[in-house]
Amino acid sequence: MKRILIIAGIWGISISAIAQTTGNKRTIDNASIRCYYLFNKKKEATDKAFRSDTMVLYIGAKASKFYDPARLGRDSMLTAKIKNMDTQTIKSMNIYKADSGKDFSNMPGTTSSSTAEGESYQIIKDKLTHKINVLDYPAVMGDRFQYEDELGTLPWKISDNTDTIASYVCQSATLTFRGRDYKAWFTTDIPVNDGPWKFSGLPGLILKIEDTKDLFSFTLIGLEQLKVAVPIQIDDAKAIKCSRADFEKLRKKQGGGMQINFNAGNVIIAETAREFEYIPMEIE
Amino acid sequence: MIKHKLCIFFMLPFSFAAAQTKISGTVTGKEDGKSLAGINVTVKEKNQTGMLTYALTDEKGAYQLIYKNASDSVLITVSGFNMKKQSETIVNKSQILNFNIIAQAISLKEIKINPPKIRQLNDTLNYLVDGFSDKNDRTIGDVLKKMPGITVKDNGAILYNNKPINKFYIEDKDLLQGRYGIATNNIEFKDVATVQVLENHQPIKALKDREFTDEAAINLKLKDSAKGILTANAQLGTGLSPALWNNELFSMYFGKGRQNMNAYKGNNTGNDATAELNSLYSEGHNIKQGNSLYVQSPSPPSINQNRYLFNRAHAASVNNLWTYGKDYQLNANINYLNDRQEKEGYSRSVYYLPADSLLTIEEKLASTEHINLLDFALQLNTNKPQYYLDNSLKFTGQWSNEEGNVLKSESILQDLNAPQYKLSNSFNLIKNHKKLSFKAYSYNGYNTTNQTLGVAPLLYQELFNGHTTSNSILQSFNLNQFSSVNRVSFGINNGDWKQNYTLGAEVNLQHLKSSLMAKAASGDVTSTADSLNNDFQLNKYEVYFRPEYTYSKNKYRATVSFPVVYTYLLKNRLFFNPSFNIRYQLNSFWNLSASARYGNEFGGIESIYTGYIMHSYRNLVRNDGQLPEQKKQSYGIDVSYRHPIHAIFLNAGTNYFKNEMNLLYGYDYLGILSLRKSYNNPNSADGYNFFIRMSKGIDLLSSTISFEANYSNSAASQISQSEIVDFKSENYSITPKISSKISKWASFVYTFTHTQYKNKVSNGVDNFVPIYANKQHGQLNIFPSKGFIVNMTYENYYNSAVASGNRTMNFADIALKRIFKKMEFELQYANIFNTKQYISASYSDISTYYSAYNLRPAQVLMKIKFKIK
Repeated sequence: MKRILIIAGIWGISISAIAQTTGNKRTIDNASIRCYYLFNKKKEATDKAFRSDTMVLYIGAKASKFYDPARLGRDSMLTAKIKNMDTQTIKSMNIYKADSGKDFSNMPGTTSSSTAEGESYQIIKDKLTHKINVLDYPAVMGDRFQYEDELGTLPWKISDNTDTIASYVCQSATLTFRGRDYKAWFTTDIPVNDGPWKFSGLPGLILKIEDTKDLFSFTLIGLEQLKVAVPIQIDDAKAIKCSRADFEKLRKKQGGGMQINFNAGNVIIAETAREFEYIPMEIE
Repeated sequence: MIKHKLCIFFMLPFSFAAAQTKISGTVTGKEDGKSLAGINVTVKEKNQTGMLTYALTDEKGAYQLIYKNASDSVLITVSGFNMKKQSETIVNKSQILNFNIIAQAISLKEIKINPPKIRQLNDTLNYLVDGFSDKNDRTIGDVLKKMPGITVKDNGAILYNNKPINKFYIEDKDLLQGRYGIATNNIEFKDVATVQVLENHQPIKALKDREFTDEAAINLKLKDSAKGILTANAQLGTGLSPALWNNELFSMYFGKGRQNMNAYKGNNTGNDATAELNSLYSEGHNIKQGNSLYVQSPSPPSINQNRYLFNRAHAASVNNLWTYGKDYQLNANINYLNDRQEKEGYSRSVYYLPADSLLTIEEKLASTEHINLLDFALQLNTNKPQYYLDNSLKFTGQWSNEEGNVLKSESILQDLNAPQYKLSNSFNLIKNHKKLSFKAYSYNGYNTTNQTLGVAPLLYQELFNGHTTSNSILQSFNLNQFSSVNRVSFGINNGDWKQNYTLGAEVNLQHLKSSLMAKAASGDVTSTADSLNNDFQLNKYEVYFRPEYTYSKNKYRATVSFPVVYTYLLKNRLFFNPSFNIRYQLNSFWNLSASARYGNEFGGIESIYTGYIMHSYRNLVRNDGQLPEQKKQSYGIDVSYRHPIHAIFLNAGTNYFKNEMNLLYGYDYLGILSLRKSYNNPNSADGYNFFIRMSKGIDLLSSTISFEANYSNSAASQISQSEIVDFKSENYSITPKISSKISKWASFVYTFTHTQYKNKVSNGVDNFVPIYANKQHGQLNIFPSKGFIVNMTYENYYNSAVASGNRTMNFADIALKRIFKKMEFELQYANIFNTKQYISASYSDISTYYSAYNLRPAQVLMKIKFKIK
């Protein structure tokens, strides 16, 4: 019971926080299944994951959405706070890029946020058109971007291996995708051709997938059937359309953090360099 | 993996033996007969778990299965999201097979989620210190630097995700009250077990979940071996020339119910000894404290302080904390500074006088200042979820005296004694009741200063008729001030509309007593005429109500505020100070904003006294007793463009201001003496400025180039030798800059600034030659190996107004730092070119100011830090 409350609480916070920052959300489908995946990221030649996040996959009949509710919740709260600042006193606004080396952290009135924690993307899969829509942003206070990713039919290779994951009997399949080799476990007991991140196209839900270098892994840790359908909403009205390559370029150089300084009505927004090296899942 | 290969191995013979089977068909819904897309069709050998192959139906509901298998029959299964699963055993041969399936709600085995580590929302990150430290580290600051998201500045300030932390706790207690630089730079990492980062930390529990903060706090958890014992470490530093020293001593004790930390810093190397004694938290309310009387000295150059500060400083800090019960804690902090600062230089001021005459004052200046500063704070704090109370009592005492010498044809000696005492109490209360939150704030401060300035010889005989026996002037200045600030506030948030109401009351009582006297060699002081004395009180009472409304929807956001202020200052006044601001977001790339504001301001006691006060040996001021009033209006427009994909950022704007004043100031020059008077003559000043800033990232060179330009133009009036003089000033500056990260082991930044100042007196001959100034700054950082850092800096200054000698100045510094396990070595070589003077020139009002300031010579300093206990 307590666990459910915790989840409900977290969920409530992130939904309301997102609602604060968005005005033009549209509902694309209603979800009847909610899956939780633990997303572990590791560096090469290390044993322990340097980062673990809980991701959520909402599955509807026509579409699904995969994202990190904690990260989006935090960012929306910060954005809301900044947006609600007293604009009456704003006289000027300056924006500096990450490698301008500007550091206002010593100035009074500076606040900032990190983008190194959690995942900022929302991956929306349209089951009818087989198109993937990715909404993402390289910096909390920056623009929202959107790109379409047409993967076509993923060349999964089914193997005869079976295993039990989260009490479901799974069969394995392998896939080479954008420079990395993955091994997935899916179950036909959940006849949904979906999965974490951009993965889908197997005759059952992917419960676990990891790359062969062991840098990234998604593992199902929770599964709920929703008695009351939850709307799958996206907010892409203000997103800048770009290509995946454009966005990856932005992410590579901008993914650090954000400083915002208010001083005598002058607003400075500066990005800061990233502490961690960004390891992309897609290297091609 | 092995299992996987084995399976393939066993499957192979069958595969080769079997012929290829192709099964295709369509899947439709039973109810409406429409074809279904995205339905799984799998084929299995009977009684096997693994499938042979699978297909998903396309938009037309078609599927195709191609596989090789030797068995007689196979099992085809059709399943889909919220569809009833349907299986059929068929003969293993190529065929067309259509399915008609029915919708059925899916029923799944649910998996209850174990509470995952969603630590991000509201939790604490724990970093084990041993996991981050290595042999090159000594202090906890060194280790903190390596923890993800944490940065430590030179002064010890900690940033989490590049944002200053809002609290620094040791064992959950805020001992240092923001002066935690003492802790980061002195506590050894071996004494700390865990560093906790408290994200989104709201230090006031009563505001938790009511006021969001995105700031973090740090808590150091000490090892048991470091608790309840005294630890200490030290720094020794020495160098040339002249003989230099830079020493530090530090001790700490952390026990149950009590914490203590002490530090001493002393140097004569031009370093600010008080750096670690300053609070790194953002400060609250304060009475401004400055000297009204001063010794004439050249204005400090706009370069790094340690290039020109000739000091001999000793600073000490004692910090204690006691806890009472679970919720109460008492903090006591004492800081003391003893410093001796020497200044030497030359200045030349040129004043424009009517009838095209110029007054030039040249001075060779030298002064020595002794500073004693004592700072004491006592804070009682209780922090509960429904109730927050904080009461801080602070005392600051400063005893400083300064002796100065102006070398002219005859030398003028000045002697300033300026003690100041300040006592203040601030009270902060927050009480929660259900959904309501009530906030009250009260600040009360008392400030007193009793300054004297002695000047010898007796310069202005005409002011002191007949005191021929006197040989010096003595100015006394006594100001007592009481100030009280009180306010209560609450806000209502109603979707697109936000309302905020503040009710406040402020009191400011001031009493000024001063007299200008002639002093005889015997020490006898002669009282003088009323025109040289002041004794009066100025009281200000203010009550205000400030409603504020914000409307934001879609692309617009507008805020309007119209405080109604009732002020009693000499007479009753009611003011209305409205302001307005609007922002419009055209699209993702363009942003427009505009603002307008109007306000009323008054002068303080320093602008209404009627008897002469000698602020410095050649600056006598009196007013006609009228209260200066200003009506200020300002307007601004700002446009910004940014294209993140192309890494272009651009911001441009313009501002206009107009101030209307009831008084006009006039200066009369009697020889070198300037007399300031105010005249009841309404006048105005106005001006405008333009600015543009842009930057572009260049990925190829991993660099950013940026460019800034500013232009400003203003006009005002003053009275000079009883004539109104209108003057205009015009400035512009341009600043290109490039910064580049050359590689992992080096980075550099280069900035160039060009500035031009131009002044013009409208009804006179143009006496002001434009001044040009250039500044170049380059910095190269090299990191040859871990724990080894080399910094190189080069600066070049040029000023066109330097009449004689070199118009350019060059500075270069180099520093090497090496960190070992128990020690830290640093070698600094500053001002390598041994540049002796900093020369600058600028315009202000209707005068030109030129100065040369003596700098510290080239110096080499070696520092060692080590542990004592």
